[in-house]
Parts: sequence; structure tokens; C-alpha cells
Amino acid sequence: MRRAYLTICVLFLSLSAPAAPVLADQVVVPVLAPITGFLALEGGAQRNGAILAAEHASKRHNIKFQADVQDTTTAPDVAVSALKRTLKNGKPPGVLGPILGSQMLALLPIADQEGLPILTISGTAKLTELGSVNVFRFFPGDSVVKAAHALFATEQVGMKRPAILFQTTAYGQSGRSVLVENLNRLGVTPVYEEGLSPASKDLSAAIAKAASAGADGLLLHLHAGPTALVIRQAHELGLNLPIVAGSAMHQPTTAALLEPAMLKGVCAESGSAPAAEVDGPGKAFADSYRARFNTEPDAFALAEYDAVGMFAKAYAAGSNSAATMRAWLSKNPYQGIAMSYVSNGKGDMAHSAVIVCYDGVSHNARVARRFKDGAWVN
Amino acid sequence: MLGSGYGVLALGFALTLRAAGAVNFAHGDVATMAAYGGVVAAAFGATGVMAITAAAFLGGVLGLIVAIITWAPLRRRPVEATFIAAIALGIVAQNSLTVGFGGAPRALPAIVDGGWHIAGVYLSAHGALSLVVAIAAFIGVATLLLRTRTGLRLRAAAEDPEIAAAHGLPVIGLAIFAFLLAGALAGLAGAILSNQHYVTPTVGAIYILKAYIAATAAGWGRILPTALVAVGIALFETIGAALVSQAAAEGALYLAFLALLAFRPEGLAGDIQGRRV
Repeated sequence: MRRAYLTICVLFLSLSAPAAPVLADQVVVPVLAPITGFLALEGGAQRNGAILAAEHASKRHNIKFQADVQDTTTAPDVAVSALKRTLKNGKPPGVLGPILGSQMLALLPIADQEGLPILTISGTAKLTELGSVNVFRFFPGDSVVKAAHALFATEQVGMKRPAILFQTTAYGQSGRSVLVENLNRLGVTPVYEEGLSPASKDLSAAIAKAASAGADGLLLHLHAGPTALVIRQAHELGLNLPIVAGSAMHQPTTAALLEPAMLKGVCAESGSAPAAEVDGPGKAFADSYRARFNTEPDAFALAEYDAVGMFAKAYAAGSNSAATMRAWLSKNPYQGIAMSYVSNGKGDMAHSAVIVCYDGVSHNARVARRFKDGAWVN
Repeated sequence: MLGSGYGVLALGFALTLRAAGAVNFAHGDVATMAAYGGVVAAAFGATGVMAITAAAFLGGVLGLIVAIITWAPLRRRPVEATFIAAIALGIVAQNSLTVGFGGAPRALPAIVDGGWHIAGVYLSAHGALSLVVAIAAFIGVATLLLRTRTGLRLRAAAEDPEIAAAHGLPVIGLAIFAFLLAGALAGLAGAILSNQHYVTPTVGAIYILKAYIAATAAGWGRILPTALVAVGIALFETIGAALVSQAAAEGALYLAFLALLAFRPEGLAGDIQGRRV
């Protein structure tokens, strides 16, 4: 009895002890990301990019930035709950939003209602077409990457009768329509198009129908798993068609699913390709990322890294409220690792893209072309 | 190969349904976890055959764990308690896999490499061997149930657990054995599917949906018809996608299922009486 009483007293005292004080210059950077669910790969990259950026920004600006990551899974209502939880602790200067377009679309009305800047790496075109002054997109939107996608496919690869396989998600449908617009502008009409569910496993029928329609190449706008499935199944069908895929194919984890020989003739668009960089700040970032997380970086991680980097710079420059943060992001350029960012007045900050290609001998991609403001720069 | 995988998975699902009256919604996640076990084995140098064997073994162990956590303590409660517990366990499994392995798709090595082009269709050696493995699994389970003493006891315990217990049959032990066997089948299915179709932490949710549809369409508690209907589902999806589109095939599948429920709710082979959930 006496021992129990003493134990209870000790517990009470230890729980009553004051918590470690929050540093006066500690800045919480709320990060909403789909860590679980079918976008866990991209959400994980987003999380890692934010964490690394916060650590580097802390050293650079001598302010303790702390990335506070919340899982939004893949449902819009979960993202909304996560944002509301963030707001309960007081309105931060800004929030890093989830990569999933459908979640971002659900968050925008709340961001507008609260006057809260929301930085995102979602590529869904509609985000910056709704007239919100609070959205800042750090991944090149469909209007940039799909222009590069279409131009490379027609001009460099020589496709005149492409087939398009796209995801039936908001990401897929949005990208597909912008891709078709760009192709039409170049005088090319797809000979076949099909929407594929992310859950579909046997895609050989769609591939065979594309070939039967007389396609001279495949344009893919799919998530990572389906992209690898199409490339594998196209190879197994013996189709020797060039493939220009969406940004999922630049990810080293997607390439790792395929034999190098299956990657011959495969290229992909992306905002950047840090794992393919051989020198400069891109390689330095890739090396830091590998050392910190023991995995290869991708464009999503780098875009999030740059977004947090710009947020931190704005904060260090005195933008410590939502209104001042929004004003700073809207008016100032930022030289990130992937590219330079500046708002076009609608919230699109990123205006560059790259095309990476595989040599069919290894899993390593190389940057084939760089694209900026509607034209090749190399 | 998709049909082989679905068939073996549905076989296991129907086995626990029949033997323990349990709607094991964690069955797809058992297949997924077992497949990841195969991925780990492959990372340590296991060949295709070894990785698939490891997956089947791990699946059996996981089936046992599912039985101990979700079925044994809740078997006297309403049947909904068991399948909600299984759903919860499945969610824990999915998130554990995401934390442990990340969200990137993974692949198991093939049982054997290479393949053949036959009349414009590619048949991988792995796919052909998967079909052989699936047929062997069907024959094995059918033989166990219909020709062995253990199978007779399983069927007796499933028909009427109280009478079976009164006759001295170890009803709980038999049900747990069914979970173990079903788990091994799930592991085998997960490994078969993961080479060509990859595995992600959440893919189990798709697999269990197909297995549940197969079990309902075949007739609740019908083991071999469930496996055959699952193969039919894969064929339906592939042929439908070839004739129309992937999206239309998937929609048509669910419409066909609804029509079946409306006009023949007992399923194609008829329900085992009073067992539907």
C-alpha cells in the first residue's frame, strides 16, 4: 500500500514537471501529405522533402523551422479535417498542402475563407484556374509539363499518331485534356485514348487496342504502378513503340520495377529529376536526400523542398503572418534547386520542366531536354 | 495469371467462410503482407520459388494470427463483430506496411523467366506456372475436403459446430486450421500476383473485394465454385476490356453482380443454408 502510494506520488510529480519550453524562434511549418493510401509514394516524397528543407532552412536562417507532417490519406474530407486541426492552434503564416489534386480542391475554399496561403506541389491544372489568391503551386502545372510532353513526343520522337493512356482520377483526366490540347496545337490528333483505373492490373487489352488503332507511340499519364504495368505489358506484347510517360516514370522507384531492357525507348516528363543530375545544386540535394532518408529523391521531394525553402526565406524576411506571407510569395522570385520560381499572378510558381530518357541498359535516366516558358533551353 | 491469383485467393476466403463462418476481410491484407515477406526474402537472395514458398509460409502464420485476434475471441458474438475486427486488423496491416516499406510498388521475382508469343498473345512462363500452381491448389483443397478424415471433420464442424463438438470434434482447432490453410493460400496468391502486377500496401483491398464478389456470386460458403467464379471475374475483366474498355468492363462486372443478386440472390451454386452475410 505504501509502495503504491509512493509510486503514485512520483508519477504525479513527474507529470506535473514543466514541459520543455518551446523555443521563441521555433516556427512550425504545417505539412499536409498523403502518407498512406494509393499516393503514399508521392506523399512520402513530399514529407521527406519538407523535413529536409526545414532542417536546411533552420541552419541557413538561424531560425528553428519544424515540419509538422499530418497524414491526409487520399480522401478530401480527411485533408479538410487535417487543415482544420492545424487552424485550431492559431492561423500559421502558410500551410504546405497535399499533392493530391482532389484534396487541394477541397482545401481551397477553406484557405480562401481564412485568407491562408497554401503552397502545393499538385499538378492538377484547375487549382490555379479558380481565381484563388491563396494557392501557390511549386510543381509545374499541366500547362507546362504537358506542353513539354507533347512537344517532345512530336518533335523529338516523331510521333504523328500517338495513343494516350490516362488515369481516370482527377490528375489523369486533367492532364489528358491539356495533353490533347497541346497535341492539337501541334497538328497531331491521338488515334486512340483510354482511361484506366488505378486499381486495374491487366492493361494489355488497352495497349493492344492502341496498337490496332495504328498508334506510332504511347503517351502515358498514369500513376507509378500503372505506368510500370503498361511498359512491362507493352514489352511483353512485343510492341516496339516509343513511350513518353508522365512524371511517375522519372521516379527511380518506378524504374526499379522494370528490367532495363524494358526501358529502352522510354522517356518521361517531370518538373525536375534530381536522381539524374550529375553536378551542381541538384546533385548536392540528391546526395543530402540519400544520406538522410536512404532512398532516391524524386521531383516531388525536390519541389516540396523548394516550396518550404521559399516559405522559410519569406518568413526570415519578416513575413510571419498569412497576409504578409501571401504578399511576399506573390511578388518575389525565388531561386530554388529545381528551378527559379515566380508567380504568374494566378499562383503558378514553376514554369520549367525536363524530359528524362532511359538507355535500356540501366535503371538510370539522363536529362534529355530542359523546357522553360514554352521552349527548349538546351 | 490474374485468374490464377484471384482463384487461389478466393479459395482461401471461402474456406474460412465455410469452416468458421468468418467473413475474413483481412484476407486480402494477409496476401499483401505475405507478398512483402516474399519481397524481403528476395532481397536476401531468395529465388522466385523460394520467395513464393516464403510468402505461402508467412501467409499461413498470418492466417493463424488473424484467427487468434479476430475470430477466436469473437466467435460467439454476432458475425458482424468478426468482420469489423478483420477490417480493423487489415487497416493496421496496410499502415504498418506503408510505414515499413513506403508506398512504392514492389515486385517478387518470377518463378521462372521468359515466355512465348502464341497467336499474338504473350504467355509468360511465370504465368503458365502460376496456372499450374493454382490448379494444384484447387485439386489439393478439394482432395483435402472430400477425401481425407481432416476434410470430413472440417465439413462436419462447418455444418453444425454444436453437434460436431458434442461428438468430440475439436471445432475451434479445425476452424483455426482452416484459417492457417486459407492464409497459406492467400500468401501463394499474393506472391503469384506480385511478380507481374506488383504489390503496394493497399492492394489487398482490391483483392478482397474480388474475393467477396466471387463468394457471393458463387453461393455463400461454396468453396470450389467461389474459386472458379473468381477466375471467371478475371476473364470477364480482361475480355470486357478488350471488347470495350477497362472502365466499362469494371462497371459491367458490378452491374452483372447486382443483376445476379436481384435475380438469383442465393448465388450460382446456391447458398449453404442460413450463412449469408
